[in-house]
Amino acid sequence: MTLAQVVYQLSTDSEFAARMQTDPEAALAERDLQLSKEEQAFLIHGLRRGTRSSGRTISMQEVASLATGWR
Amino acid sequence: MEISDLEERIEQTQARLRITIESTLAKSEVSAEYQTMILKTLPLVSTEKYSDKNERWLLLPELCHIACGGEEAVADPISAAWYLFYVAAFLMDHAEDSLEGIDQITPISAGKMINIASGQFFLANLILADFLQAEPISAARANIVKAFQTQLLRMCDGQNLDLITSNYTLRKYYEIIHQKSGTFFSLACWSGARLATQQDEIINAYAEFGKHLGVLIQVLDDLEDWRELQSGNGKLESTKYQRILPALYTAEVIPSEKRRRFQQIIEELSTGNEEGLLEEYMDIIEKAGAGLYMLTIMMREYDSARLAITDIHPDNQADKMLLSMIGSLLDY
Repeated sequence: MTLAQVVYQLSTDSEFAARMQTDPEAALAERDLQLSKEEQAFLIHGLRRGTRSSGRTISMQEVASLATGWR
Repeated sequence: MEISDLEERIEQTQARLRITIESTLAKSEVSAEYQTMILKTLPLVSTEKYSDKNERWLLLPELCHIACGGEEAVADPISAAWYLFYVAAFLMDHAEDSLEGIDQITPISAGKMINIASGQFFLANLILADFLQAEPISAARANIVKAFQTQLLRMCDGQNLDLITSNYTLRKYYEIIHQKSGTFFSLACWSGARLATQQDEIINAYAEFGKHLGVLIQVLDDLEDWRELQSGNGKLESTKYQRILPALYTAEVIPSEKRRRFQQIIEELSTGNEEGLLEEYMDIIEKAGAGLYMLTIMMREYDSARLAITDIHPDNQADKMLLSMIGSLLDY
């Protein structure tokens, strides 16, 4: 489950998170992490939408508030 | 595409499906009492609300059918059968897990609930049998009726896997939700499309749309559990502390010493001991970055569903409604 591992590193390592925002392929290669092109695209999309100006990644509460149309 | 357009279509479709379901049931020669019990649990034919599940999904076969060139109302038997299976599965889930929620509105014992759900399964099959025998005989209809049986069996297999799995992992979670929710929603879309066309590429695109929609719905269901926990009002079923997606993600990624503590907390929570542990449980999940993981997965399923059908029939109104339905799930 590499996608999960990459998300964990993004959430716990701000340097890696910043590198992923600018050069994702190099950032992944430096950590010896592999994602398919598709996964990489979804992750970058998620990272851009889920990173606050303070650099903090999106919380569970914030994610839950996105799913307002459910039920 | 406005939500009000969707609501109007849901109402129109509900009215037609009501006729299909009630007329098939009336021909079945079962007692009036049992007919009433079966119908009362279907939100679409009752003013009593037994289920909090959204009714919009009953449009899936019809919209996929129309998007592929089919005519309005032709897919009604498929929609009616699929919807009956949907409600029956919901009842069976409640009977299996607990009767809380439904009990608050009208007390029904687990035994009665299983019997009503069984009636709905057979009623759905009766509707499919009539659909199969309608003139002129068609290969598409035979394909669809067979697909209902094979795919619903596959879904039951997924439910069995869910029930017998003790070592739940992230990988197992995806395997199970693809087999259950993914298969079921894919069936709705595949069968609607299949009734209108023989072009595999197009049919598979709608099946793919349904599969990702089903997975997204399951992920959102887990998010709803989280929201209830966070509100302070909620308490999860004992197995769910381990099995909701943010917890499975966390268990997968955190270092082993933290994982041992996390598993200890889950075991305690599962036995009903929440003394100070719920906050710690939620804190570990939050700090592991589960928010970003959930967002990424939701976007993956949402985008995959959307992309599956985006270029199939540009500017088609039914496609727009399908996209609007999935878009209405997420405020993003």
